[in-house]
Amino acid sequence: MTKNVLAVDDSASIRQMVNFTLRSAGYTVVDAMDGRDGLARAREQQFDLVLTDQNMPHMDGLALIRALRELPAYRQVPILMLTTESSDAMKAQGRSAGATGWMVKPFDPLKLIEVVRKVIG
Amino acid sequence: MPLRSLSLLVVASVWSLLVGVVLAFAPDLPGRLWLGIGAVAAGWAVAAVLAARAGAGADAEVATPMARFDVDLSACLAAFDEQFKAVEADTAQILGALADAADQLTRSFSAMHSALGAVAPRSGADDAAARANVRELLAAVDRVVEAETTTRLRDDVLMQEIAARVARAGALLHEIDGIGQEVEMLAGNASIEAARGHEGRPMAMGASQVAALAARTQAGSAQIGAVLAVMQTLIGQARAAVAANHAQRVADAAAIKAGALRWLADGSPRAALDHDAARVVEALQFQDIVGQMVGHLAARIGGMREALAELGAVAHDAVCARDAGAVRALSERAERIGCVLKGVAERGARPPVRRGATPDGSVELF
Repeated sequence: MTKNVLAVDDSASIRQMVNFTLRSAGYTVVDAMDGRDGLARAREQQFDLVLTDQNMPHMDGLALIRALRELPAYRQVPILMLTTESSDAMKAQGRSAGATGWMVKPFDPLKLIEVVRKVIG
Repeated sequence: MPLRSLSLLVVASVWSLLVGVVLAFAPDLPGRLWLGIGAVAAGWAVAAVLAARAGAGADAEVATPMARFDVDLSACLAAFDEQFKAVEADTAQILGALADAADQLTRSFSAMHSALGAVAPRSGADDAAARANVRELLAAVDRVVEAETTTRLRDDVLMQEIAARVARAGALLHEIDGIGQEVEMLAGNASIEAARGHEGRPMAMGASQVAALAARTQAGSAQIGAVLAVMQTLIGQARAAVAANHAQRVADAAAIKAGALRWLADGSPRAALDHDAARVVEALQFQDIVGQMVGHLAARIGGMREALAELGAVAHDAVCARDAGAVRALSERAERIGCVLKGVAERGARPPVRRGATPDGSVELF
């Protein structure tokens, strides 16, 4: 069965790149343009993995993770940060918010596929 | 009342009194009493008019440097603000250009991706259909290179325009500094004159206001100058990032083309093409990084414009400040400008991305 991935990023080009990369590896990808949009889509449909940027308007990545972890359906779902932020302090915040992992942009498409396979199979 | 006005009033009054007394007691002069009274009254009236004119002159002397300062400063701030509006417009254009380029490149990439996908099942058989697909791929790569050349020229021109405007804004800032120093010198001279007792208290009051205003203007200018310097660095980084991005994408496209040509010639494995395509995806993301840097620049310019508008308003209101309370209120407003600029500087110190620090592509699973 095809796994569903929610890709949350305010940059249309990044969403497209993630989409291309993961679709070519056999995943179904749904886009969201910011944290608020991502949360709404996560409430509408169950995803196997959430990939989110950090710096976005309306709701940032950390706030999205905290909000998702409040939902019973997303307590155990892997959430990966995909962001240009790379400081240890930010990573620590991500970990305490409930992130499963942290990837720094620009991402290597082959590495992204490898990580996603490791996390959700 | 100024000393000069008081002196005039006293001298003219005594003089007219003397004339009146002489006329009133002059022998053999018909109606001498009324002539004397009339002369005294006319003399006092003339004295009052002269004193009033002298007072007004002194007020005008107090107001002149303040008003001149206000006019010069307002003109400079307006010109400064105009430059920032132009920088904002240019920045918006760059963001638009980057978005256009991203769309265009994504379409080209999409075509490349489809062509690669179509090659896969036929990679074992070097038939005519596979060759046609790879030719399509080569055409898509050419489109990427063409798009890059156009975009690079456009981005370069826009970045140069931004840099020129920031330099112009910096020159205007020096002018504001110059005005501040000039007025401070004038104020210093006026204070010395006041200490000698030439003009009295009103001029001293005007001098202290002008000096305080000049000092605040210089402090504000110094802070804006520091922010401008960081802006210039940021523009330099954005230019370098754009240049590196273009170069990287062209190199990647060339690698894909070489791989495709090799495949056509000797049937090399498709994995090599996949690898090169992955490099293109990686490089395309720099578009996003540059966009974030330019967005950060735009936010900084917005904060500076806010501070400039308030600085202009303080300079304008300083002309009307005539007492200690009004000057204190101006100081509080100047402090708020400092806070706004400090906020701009602090946010500026935390850009969402730095050219040298980001592209590591690291992965960490918790």
